[in-house]
Amino acid sequence: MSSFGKGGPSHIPPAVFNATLGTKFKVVTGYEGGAAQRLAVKNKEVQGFCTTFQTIMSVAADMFEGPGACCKVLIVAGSEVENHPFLKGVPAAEKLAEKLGKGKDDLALLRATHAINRINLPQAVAPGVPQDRVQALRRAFEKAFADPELRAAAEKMKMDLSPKTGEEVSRIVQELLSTPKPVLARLKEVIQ
Amino acid sequence: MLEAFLSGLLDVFAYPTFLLMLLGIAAGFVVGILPGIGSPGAMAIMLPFIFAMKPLEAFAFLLGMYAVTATTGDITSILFGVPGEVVSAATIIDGHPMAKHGEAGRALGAALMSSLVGAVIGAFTLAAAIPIVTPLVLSFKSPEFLALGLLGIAFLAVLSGESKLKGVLAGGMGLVLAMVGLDPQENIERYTFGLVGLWEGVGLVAALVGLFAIPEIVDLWVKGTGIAETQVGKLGGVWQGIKDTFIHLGITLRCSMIGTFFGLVPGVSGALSQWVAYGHAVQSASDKSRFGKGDVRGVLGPGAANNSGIGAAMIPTIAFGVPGSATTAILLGAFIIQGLQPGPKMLTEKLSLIFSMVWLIVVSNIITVMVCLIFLNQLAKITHIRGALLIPALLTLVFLGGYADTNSYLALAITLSFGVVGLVMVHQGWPRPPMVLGLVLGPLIERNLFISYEVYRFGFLLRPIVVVIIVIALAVLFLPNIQEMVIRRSALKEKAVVASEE
Repeated sequence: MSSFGKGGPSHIPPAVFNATLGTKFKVVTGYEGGAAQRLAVKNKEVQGFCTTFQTIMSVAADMFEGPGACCKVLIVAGSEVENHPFLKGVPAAEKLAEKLGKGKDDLALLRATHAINRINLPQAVAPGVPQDRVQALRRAFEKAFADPELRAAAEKMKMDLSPKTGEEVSRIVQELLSTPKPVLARLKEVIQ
Repeated sequence: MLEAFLSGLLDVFAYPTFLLMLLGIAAGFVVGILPGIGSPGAMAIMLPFIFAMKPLEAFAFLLGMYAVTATTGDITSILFGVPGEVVSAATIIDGHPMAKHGEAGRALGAALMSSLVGAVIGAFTLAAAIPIVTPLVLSFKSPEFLALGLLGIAFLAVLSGESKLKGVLAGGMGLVLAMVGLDPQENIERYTFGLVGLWEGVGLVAALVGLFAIPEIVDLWVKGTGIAETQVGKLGGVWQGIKDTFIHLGITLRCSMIGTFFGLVPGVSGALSQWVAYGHAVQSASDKSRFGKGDVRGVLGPGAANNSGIGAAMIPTIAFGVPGSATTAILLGAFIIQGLQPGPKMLTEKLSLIFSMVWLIVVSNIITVMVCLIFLNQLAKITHIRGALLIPALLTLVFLGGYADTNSYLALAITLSFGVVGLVMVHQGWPRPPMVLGLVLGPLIERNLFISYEVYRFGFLLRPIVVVIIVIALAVLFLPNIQEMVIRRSALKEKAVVASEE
């Protein structure tokens, strides 16, 4: 698997899958960004890469469909899989762990590393900002994402707009912060 | 295909496409002249404006700007020794000494005309390469990128001028400085002294501006004269520079091909191709004595290579969605905004749009060169202005450029530090280009060396393209010495024959 440096978003998931699901991905680090990682797959230097579904849809769909198709999705991080032709029959990592009878620690590790994908591009304000202003900002974001013009532009760009509310993001952050210390220690070990 | 080629040309002149291209050119002119504010930054600023445009209009706007930045970037390199763009740094080596000798007009004429020739060759290569682009680009993997880096290293000696040892040491220092930042494999901090601003390494723009511009400004201050030390009348004119491009057409064409090749290969930047082109111009010349002191061939080589890479760099972006540089990465963003999916299909289904892009690059460069030619003689007169009046403006340019590299005060400190290093190097007769080459090549070599070993072990050394490139690198290194030996031996033989006849 082509990857950016250790500890990066393209390195952590395969490393964690190896530790929890028993996959045997060999991660080759050092590629300069997503484009170089995709090129390495296209020219058959490596056999795979780890990326977001958003990236696949916007710049790499030709790798999964059409005459130049060279890839298929193996595992999706998280507990759910979107309804899309590319993802038909693809297991979600957390569900797969349950099916394989993996322990609580493995599941906790998978959840902790997936949290960053669930809150991609979070918007935050400094501590101490009054609650009424936080609420006003949250509602403004919700209104903006409901704007038909914005949704049309996103659709044209093949971008998935599925924002989470401020409350949902707070919950995910709290979940992440309450990750047991032994799980964090194991994560550190896995990605080093 | 011919139909798409011609309709692509006609589409460029349609309203409002042409007007938007002119707007882009105007923006690119300013961006190119201002050091530090490179085309990636300017394009990122322009990106929001294209949401309301149709695809061709958007690309006219963006490519108009992109196509001319390298051309106008040469202007400040020649006039002031301040690289307007990273890809314009090699132009300084001979361009600025020419300006000092009162030949600014000639150097500018040569830079602009070679840029135009390079841009046209690169753009038409983009058009011609469409059928063969896939196997060509895909044949380059990490070992081949590593070999290209080593080829660059082979040019260190060529760029060292008369003091080869100092040049190689300066190159080594550049390689060491390139290690500053997070290492590409383990993401471990190296020589960052706890400064987050150094995680991305030493900013190339800040380093270049400091290394080249500050010593020139100090020199100007000490001399107390204008940049031009002598007047050479008509010889220094723009027209002579244009004629030089065609007198040395071989260099211009070969360096255009070098730029095109480096543009075509994703991951090898234009920052490298200009130095390889310069090295080639030096090495292919029979009389090398004027290089570094103001040889017009040293301007033609990088000038042609800079611009020829623009069209070629579009190929991996369009065909594979793999941008080869920061600027093409932003262009990829423009594709997405316009709802276009990069990939092999683009080369068949959107052929007319691709050819319009080719024509946009060509037409933008023709317009820029024509406009510049009108003002070049006036621009060249700047070199006769008293230094005391120029220095404040130059210092502003230098520190603006340095700051704009990463928008931080740390970048200013880097500029200043490299300025001091540059001053010492000039004073002690150490060549500066090898250090820049080391800085450019360091990340390329390190990254690809580790990946190559990880994937292929030592087998990477036996890959056919790697072997060919290494043979070329060895030829670059040793051919001049072999030629010298042969000449010396034949001279000795002749002497011996004459002596025996006597």
